[in-house]
Amino acid sequence: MSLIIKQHSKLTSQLVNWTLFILSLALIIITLYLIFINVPTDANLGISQRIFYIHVPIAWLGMISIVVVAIASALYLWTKNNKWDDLAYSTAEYGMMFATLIIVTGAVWAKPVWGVWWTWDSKLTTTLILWFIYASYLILRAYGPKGIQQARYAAIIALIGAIDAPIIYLATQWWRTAHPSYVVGPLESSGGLDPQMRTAFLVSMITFTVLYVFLLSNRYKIRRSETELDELYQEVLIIE
Amino acid sequence: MPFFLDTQPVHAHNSMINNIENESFADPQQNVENESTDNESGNNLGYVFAVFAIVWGLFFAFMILLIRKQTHISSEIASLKQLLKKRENP
Repeated sequence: MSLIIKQHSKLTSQLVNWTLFILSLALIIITLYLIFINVPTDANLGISQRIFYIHVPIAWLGMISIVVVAIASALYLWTKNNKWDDLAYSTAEYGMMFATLIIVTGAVWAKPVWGVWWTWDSKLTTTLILWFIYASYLILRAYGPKGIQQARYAAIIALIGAIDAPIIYLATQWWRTAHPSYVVGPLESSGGLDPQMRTAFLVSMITFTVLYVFLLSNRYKIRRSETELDELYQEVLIIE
Repeated sequence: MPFFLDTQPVHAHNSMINNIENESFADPQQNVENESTDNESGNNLGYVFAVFAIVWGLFFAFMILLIRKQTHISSEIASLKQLLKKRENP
């Protein structure tokens, strides 16, 4: 009976995984169509404004990742269940990737618009701090003390690091900044975004979020398999 | 400009131009003015494609890496389980 349930849950998991994969691909195609064919070119920023549709969703995922890492870490500290630690670790890897992409895509967009690749602007600097938070988290996971101690130290880094997410978000409100103010969301400035641009932006946000869920669920499964592998190796050593 | 990018220009929103004109820490104003001329002529195509290539390239590379890692771990788990089974029931 338990074998049937196990097989059923495995099949369901595979089905969900494939659905997410196909959905991601379909959404990527729609997003690319909207960005390159459907949306109008911005009269002020020209073609480079199209970077917006990719830069902002990535920034959203980079910031949401540190929040997920912090929540999972808090749950790990509370419950001592390794599943939460695995989720935190898997998310941190993606967080690092997205933080790198935020900085790279931002720099490439800054060059034609501002004339510089980088400036020590509050938004950019706080994002760079986020990158360093992810880097320190992953360095600790790679080279820090092993076992429970490592997971605890990493959880504390994540909890402290999560403070940076609202700071990044509110940087344009709190400090004088060269970074554009918000054109969508709760801090949206009056006027908003052109309707076609708004649609493309929202579709792009959905696309990246679905892709993120797909990638994260797979990375989490791999992390669980890695834990299982470690346990099996320990069993082999005990028998020997 | 390629046909697929040749859409009717609109003003997205003034805030997207950013406040750089009022800022002193950004690089020379001269650069901003020169680049805005480039924007109008659509010379920033290279930057757009660079961003899209980097992002999607990294995504797909990471996905391939994940698949390979999963395959490798699964086969390692299977062989270890087999080994354990053999040792328990020789």
